[in-house]
Amino acid sequence: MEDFTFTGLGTKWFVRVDGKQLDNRTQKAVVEYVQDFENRFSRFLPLSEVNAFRLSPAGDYILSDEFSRLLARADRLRVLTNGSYDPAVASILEDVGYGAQHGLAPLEKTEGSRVSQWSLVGNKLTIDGPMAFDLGGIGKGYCIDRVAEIVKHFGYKYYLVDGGGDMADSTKADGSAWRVAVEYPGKPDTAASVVNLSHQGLAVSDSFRRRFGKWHHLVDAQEKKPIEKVIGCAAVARDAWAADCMTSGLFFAPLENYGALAEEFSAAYLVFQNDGTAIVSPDWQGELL
Amino acid sequence: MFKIKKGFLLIAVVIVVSVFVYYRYAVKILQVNKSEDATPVTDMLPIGAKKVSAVVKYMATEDKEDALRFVLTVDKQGVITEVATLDAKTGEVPEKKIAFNQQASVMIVGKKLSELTAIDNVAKSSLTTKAFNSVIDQLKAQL
Repeated sequence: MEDFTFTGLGTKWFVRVDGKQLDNRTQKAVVEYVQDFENRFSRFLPLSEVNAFRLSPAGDYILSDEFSRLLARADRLRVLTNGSYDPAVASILEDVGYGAQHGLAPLEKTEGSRVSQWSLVGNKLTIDGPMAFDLGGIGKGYCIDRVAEIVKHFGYKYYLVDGGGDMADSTKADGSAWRVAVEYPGKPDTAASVVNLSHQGLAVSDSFRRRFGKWHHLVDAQEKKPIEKVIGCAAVARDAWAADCMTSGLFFAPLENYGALAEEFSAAYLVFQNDGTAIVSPDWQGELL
Repeated sequence: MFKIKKGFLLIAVVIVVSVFVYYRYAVKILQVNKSEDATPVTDMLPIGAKKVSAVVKYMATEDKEDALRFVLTVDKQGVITEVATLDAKTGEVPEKKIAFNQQASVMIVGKKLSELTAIDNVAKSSLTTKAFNSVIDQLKAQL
């Protein structure tokens, strides 16, 4: 078997099917979906749906079904993290230099920055003025699951889909699980755990990678500061989207909300704290190293 | 004679203080039982120890109310020796509450990836923007 690799959402992807090669038709469908997803939901593309309200006055707007689905999940995560996770944090990210111009110079001017207010009922979005959304932390997991669906739709039963280190899978052809190492946050050559993944999703996130000055991409919408108490986390859940959302929740939620998060996303988790300790959920099936 | 009186006085003071502590703290805890939702618990307990419980309702999310029963075990001195959290409706320990209560804090040393065998893939954080890839050296210099 040979991996089908491509680039999408600014990162490397691969699709592995056990015992087979992915045919051209499936490859094309996969790449087209990911490209379309990026065009629609990337904050870095000015014509994307998440940037559609940058000049919009306060009011009600009807969203596409897929954008509504993504924002509804983001809204749920906002509740579960007591408001610390908020896709409307895009404005703060841009104020500190993580913007569409790709300058990434740490500007550190959060004074005066405000997180726009928004609410969603069905497909109807209500905003209090011009704003943009950042679906970082939930978008890629969703996209990975859709790619897995495409692979399955074209008749491949035994697959592993990897989108920049997060993944969704079925099993190998002999029914056994895929064996996956979980990278230690900040140590690309070291594994913290090994998990057997089967019909699940796995996501890993840390605050080391996308860092600029003393800032990184995980910004608390309430405090208007980067998250520092958690340096990395991993989650195994029912699918990649749930796992991706879980890792975002673990970064932003207070410790006492972890149980509610785990229940919401049917997830087991590892959380690496800034004091060198790690929190391990009792249902974490992986081997700790 | 004076020594004996002093002894009695000491015992009397101890008794008075004990009674005061009992009524000031233990009785206060046991009064929880008198609330509407309170339920006495009748497990086998050490002599003098008691269990009391009360239901607390709270908004688990913006639109979902949750109800939990907290059960306290108090020893004969009125000291709380155990706290249990139960689902108010079923009386069972909620599965995820167990998960939260039992989540362990550990040190994970890690192992070099090169030392692991039979690994199909590595889960890792990604640099999800091209922008980031393009300025990685600049970023490293700031770390």
